[in-house]
Amino acid sequence: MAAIPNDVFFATVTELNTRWKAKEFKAEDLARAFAERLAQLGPRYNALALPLVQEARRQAKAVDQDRKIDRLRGPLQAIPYGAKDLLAYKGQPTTWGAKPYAGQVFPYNATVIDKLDTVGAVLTGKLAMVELAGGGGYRYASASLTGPGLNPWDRTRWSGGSSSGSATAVAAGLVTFALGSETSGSIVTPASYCGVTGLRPTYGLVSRYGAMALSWTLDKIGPFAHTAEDCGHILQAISGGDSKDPGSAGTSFYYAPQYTRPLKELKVGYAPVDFADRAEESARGAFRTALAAIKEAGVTLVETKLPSFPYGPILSTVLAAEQASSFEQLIASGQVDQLADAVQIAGLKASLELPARDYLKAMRLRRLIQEEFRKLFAEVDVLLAPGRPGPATKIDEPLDRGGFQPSAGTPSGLQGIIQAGNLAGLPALVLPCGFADNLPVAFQLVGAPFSENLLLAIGREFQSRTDWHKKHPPET
Amino acid sequence: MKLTRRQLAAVVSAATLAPAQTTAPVDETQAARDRLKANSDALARHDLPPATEPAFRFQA
Repeated sequence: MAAIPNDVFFATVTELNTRWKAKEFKAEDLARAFAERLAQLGPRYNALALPLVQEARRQAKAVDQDRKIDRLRGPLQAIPYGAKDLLAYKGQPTTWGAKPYAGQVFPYNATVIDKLDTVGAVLTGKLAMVELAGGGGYRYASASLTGPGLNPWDRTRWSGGSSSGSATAVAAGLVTFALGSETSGSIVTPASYCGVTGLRPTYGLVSRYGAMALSWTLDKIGPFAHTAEDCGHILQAISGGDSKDPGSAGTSFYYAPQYTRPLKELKVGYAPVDFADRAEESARGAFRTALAAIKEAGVTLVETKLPSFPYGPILSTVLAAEQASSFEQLIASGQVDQLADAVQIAGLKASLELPARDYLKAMRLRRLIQEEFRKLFAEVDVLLAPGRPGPATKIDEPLDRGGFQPSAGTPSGLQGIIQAGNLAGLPALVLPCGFADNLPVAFQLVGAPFSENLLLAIGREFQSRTDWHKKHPPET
Repeated sequence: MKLTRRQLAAVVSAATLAPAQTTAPVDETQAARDRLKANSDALARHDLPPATEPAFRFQA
């Protein structure tokens, strides 16, 4: 068993794969080092749902055999990763972060896990999450089977949710990349709070077969990683049509940012107020610097605004109706009372009473939203907004009571872009862009459906000019 | 399926970490109903062209 150098833990996918191919280390040793680190440090942040040390070593051994016969399978080969615990992994507990499902075991893998296995990535553990990915709404960060997600930059702060463990594990160097999911903000929020790069793909681009269904028309699976480039490689591996997912778009993704339009031809729509009065004061300096860096990359910034819709109520209505159906048995059986958060229990129960007319009205409004976004993306190529208005909230802070509120009369800017982007099925790339109160902050780029290469091209250029994505928290 | 002792311990210890929870207080359930009603009211304020069909597909 060879020693693994410490610098691997925050290395990128491409760096690690290159070093493995150069025989600097074996995949088995790399997997052991990462899996043991995840098992040891993951609980410190409540980020670990299930360690897979032995399984990872077995899988990595096979990967090393591949190298012996020059069977190279792309940049993810030999790379250790973690999966949000809503993804089925054959024969192992998949808890969905919730006590009623603590003993749940599936006899098959989620499609994304199989796809990563095919390219030689090594699963080292399942990662913690907000129970049922937050379905029903929740008041406290403690709404999880594994306790509140603690931010690796400051354990008195929340990691964000619902993909808490996924973002934390990447930020703390416990995995090289992780899979998470987003229904409404569950990739954007934890990526922003933990200071990692996160990609929410276009709805339908990545199969959800084997993933917990919270909302059939909103759920997406996407990666957390150290760089935009890594996210591109991961998305290429996990995307593609899947007859087992009725929402599959039947479309593949090939990471090729070099073939997108030159940045100098791109119009990036933004609202200055989002980075000023609508942002927390401590974050404004970082956002100003980030805006300047984006501009220096060559794009043209143009002021814009979102089409006017009640995005929050529309999204909440769609989600309530679909989660009620998805978890009807849990709610009706009374097992819902085993969840950790009283607001979530109440939200799930009430959602059973939602009238069909409200759901259909919301879905019809959603059609108009899609049409309006199509028009908007004829005027601008990409939208730019803060990932969150400020850094991570305190761990015991109520999450359903507003948080930071700008002063009355502040223009709305791109407020509601998380709900709007999810309702329209749009991709989003989260890029760390600085610090506020010694905690990371980030912005998000949102594009037209299937414009991931464009977002990644901008992200790659931004990260070639800045080093925020290279910062990592001290081990506390 | 068979679980190793380590896996079993991980599941059991995770389960015991979860805070104990009894049934949701009545006012939380009412608050949740009120939120649904407020959402419904917000939707009702938006008129729709009669031919608008629900969104189920997303295209580039």
